[in-house]
Amino acid sequence: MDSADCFTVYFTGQLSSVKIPGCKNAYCRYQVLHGEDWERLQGAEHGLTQLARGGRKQELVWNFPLELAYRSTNAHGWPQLIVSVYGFDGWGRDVIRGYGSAYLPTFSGRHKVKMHLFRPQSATTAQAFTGWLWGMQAEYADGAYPGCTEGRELTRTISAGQVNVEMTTMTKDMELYGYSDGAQPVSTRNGPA
Amino acid sequence: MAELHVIGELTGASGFRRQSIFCKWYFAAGQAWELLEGQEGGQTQTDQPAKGSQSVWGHPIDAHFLCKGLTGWPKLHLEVWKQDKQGRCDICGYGFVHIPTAPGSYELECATWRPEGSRKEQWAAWCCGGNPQLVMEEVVHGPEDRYRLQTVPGGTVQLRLGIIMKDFGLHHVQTGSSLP
Repeated sequence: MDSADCFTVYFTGQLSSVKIPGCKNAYCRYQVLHGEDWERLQGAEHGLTQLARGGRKQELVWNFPLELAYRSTNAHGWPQLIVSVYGFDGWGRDVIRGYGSAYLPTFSGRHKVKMHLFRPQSATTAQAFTGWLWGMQAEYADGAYPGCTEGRELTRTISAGQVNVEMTTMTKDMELYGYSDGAQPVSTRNGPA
Repeated sequence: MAELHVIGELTGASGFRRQSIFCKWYFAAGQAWELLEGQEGGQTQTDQPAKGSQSVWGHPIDAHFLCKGLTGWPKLHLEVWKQDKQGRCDICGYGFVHIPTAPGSYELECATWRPEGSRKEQWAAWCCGGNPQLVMEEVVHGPEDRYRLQTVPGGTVQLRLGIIMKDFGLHHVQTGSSLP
């Protein structure tokens, strides 16, 4: 079996819940970005959860499944999960609650990831006021922006709330490829047998 | 030659009160190290935390190093700056963390500090801003003596890093277990 020409990484997990102070409903749009050397084998890279409701101090539960498989030859460009959380305000308008990003776990096993959320601040007070009035708060034009490094220093954000994600990572053939993610004792790896 | 992947994010910071803060970062590595892919440094957005929560950056880091020798293992140099309403920036803390030397998944914390300055400088900084800054930033992560430096604590920067190593075993490098 010629298995060392690429390695496979399999992610399973869920967008379990969200907690944002003073927020009684929320839904989430997620996307997964990856580098050029990565190829998706299976699973949805975009998705939308239900609108979860709850009390002011409760966690809002999504329990939304994530299942993705990739193959690659290079660990650079590791898949990255980006969430955009929206909710309805008192007037029934769709407003942004926060963005968050995190790389999917590189270490095989089960992980609980807390993704802290932030959202852009309006450039001027007048914009902030009209945004509040019309329910059009500042948003990123590109939903992938929270996962990028370029141009980040130009934005000002406000942060509040967190999304709880549970992820399990399984890797295949990574040792054969010379990689170690820490799950195996390092001394047992001596390249392809 | 062995390769090292550093994949993770600058998650945020705590202990900087409720100021608008951002972080400048870069990798400092010895001459035996070469950055193949990814960014050598960057700057996060300016974040203001809501009441009762911490600052959030969620700034992604994905670096791929080529290692020709173990000396000069990469470090992450961090500088936390605050920005006031007029857009003036002021240093709040310097710090560094070593990139973990074993593969695995890590939640790291870096406590920061900044120079205290003389009485006059402190008074001037209190009055019109402008905390004393370091002239030679290498002192943050370098082996230079710091005996003339008097410092005050800043807050803590939090990082989540995944470390993947390639071919270290092939070169008979023992990294040990990542488990505590």
